Amino acid sequence: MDTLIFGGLLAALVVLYQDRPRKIILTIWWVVLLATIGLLSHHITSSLELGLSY
Amino acid sequence: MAATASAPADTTRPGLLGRLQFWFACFFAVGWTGVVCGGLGVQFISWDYPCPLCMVQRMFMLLAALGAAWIVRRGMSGTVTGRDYMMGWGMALVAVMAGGFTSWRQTMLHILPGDKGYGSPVLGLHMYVWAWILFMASVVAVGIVLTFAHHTSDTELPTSPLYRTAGLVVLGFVGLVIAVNLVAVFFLEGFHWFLPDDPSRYQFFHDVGITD
Repeated sequence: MDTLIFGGLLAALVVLYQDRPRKIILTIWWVVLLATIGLLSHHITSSLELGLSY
Repeated sequence: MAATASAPADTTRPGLLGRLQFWFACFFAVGWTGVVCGGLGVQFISWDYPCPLCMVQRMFMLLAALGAAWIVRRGMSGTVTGRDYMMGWGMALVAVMAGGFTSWRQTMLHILPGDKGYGSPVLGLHMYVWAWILFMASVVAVGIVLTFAHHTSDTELPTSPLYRTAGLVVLGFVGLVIAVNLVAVFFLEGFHWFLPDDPSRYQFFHDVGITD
């Protein structure tokens, strides 16, 4: 998943450099962002369990 | 009716603020990419294995850099419109907020007394604490540049080769660092979907039998 996301980042940069329509750039960028948020949520496996006393 | 019509874009102002905003976008993109380089330095020079949340923060940093890179790219073509500013800085703002949440989460995981944290400290603070500080500073910076967008957008930038060369260097640097991360994380993750919570080897080399 991490490898694919970095691949998506590189694809977004290539499309940006080629000055393609903003719709294409935004689509790739949002897909990568949502994939990264999904990856983050996968790695959040517990609550912080922080309280006023420890 | 005239009050509802949008004002025509004035693309003739060679304003100082417009040029400054182009250079600030260059600085923003290079700055975040440089921070990712710092992470790569710790990974390969100190030989630390980056944890999954560290990689997620790098992704958000590079997503923020892409927002500024969009403004740099538009500036290379001569004019950055208000729409370009809104899109570029909007992308950066969303990414730094998401990154800020990630670094906050990782900081909170190690906040209790006695916890030594993940990895080695850099200049007295752990990488994810530095990341949180920089993410929050970026939120403020983006807010500041947006307040001046009315004066800086629709500005025609000089057509000197300096702007195009600077833009190419910035985009090339961002691309190089993304490519290095792509290769590094592939070797770290191998043909698996996710990184382990506490990586201790480059999984690819283990899977193909090069290392134990």
